Amino acid sequence: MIELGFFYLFAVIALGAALGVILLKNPVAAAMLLVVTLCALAAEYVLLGAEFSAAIQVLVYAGAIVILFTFVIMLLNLGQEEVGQLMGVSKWALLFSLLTGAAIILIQRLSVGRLPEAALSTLGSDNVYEVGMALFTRYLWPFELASLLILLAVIASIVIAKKPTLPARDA
Amino acid sequence: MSSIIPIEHSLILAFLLFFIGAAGVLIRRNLITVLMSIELMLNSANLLFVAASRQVGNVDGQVMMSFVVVIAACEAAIGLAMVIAIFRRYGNIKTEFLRALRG
Repeated sequence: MIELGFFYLFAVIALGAALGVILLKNPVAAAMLLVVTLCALAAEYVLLGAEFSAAIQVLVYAGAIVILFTFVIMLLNLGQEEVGQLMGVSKWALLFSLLTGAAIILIQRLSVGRLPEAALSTLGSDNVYEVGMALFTRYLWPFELASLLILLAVIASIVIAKKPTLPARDA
Repeated sequence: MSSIIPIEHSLILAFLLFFIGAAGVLIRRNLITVLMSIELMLNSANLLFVAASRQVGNVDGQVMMSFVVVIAACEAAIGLAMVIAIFRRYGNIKTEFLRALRG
């Protein structure tokens, strides 16, 4: 029962921080709130029994990706006025997204009773061991492809972020 | 763990997070905020993977979650490199300046 309480607590933290991410005008504050969201989600992973996922969530997401965002924000030296207000069509976009979210939640609520029962007994206690075994036996080939993908992404981002060779068009 | 969190709670949380991320992509004009909103949506997918992994009772969902993290890292790196390139070319990173492909 107390786990459910913690689940709700971290869910509220994650949702509130996510709203801050999309609504705040200061990009640095938005990035820091993104860290809050990711750490709250890591806590949810722990509550769901996935400690390895929580660890890589904190290490990779909160530790690396958000730092990358912060670096770019600092590099571009974005002030608050640079960020810009909500779009001109924001009312329609907001209405559309609200309706979409409501429809999704409605569909989900209608399908509540039809989900399969939880099968907890096959999950062992050593989560990291099990994930590692799956990652290096059944998923070995996708794992190696993922490392190749990261290498490609590094090379591609270096090539993209280089000094442009084309003359800049005045826009 | 003694008590179990019903998967419906995780589903609702994931849907709400996805909705917030989609709304962020729709209503913001700052490219960095748009990228952060995409990260929020990827995180809701991750939450679904982990919740489904617990529900089904094997670790495949958590393995998929780690692959999604890899792809999110690649997406963030390339997206931010594109943001830098766009900033060099146009002088700011608002989405309304990106009209080169508009017919």
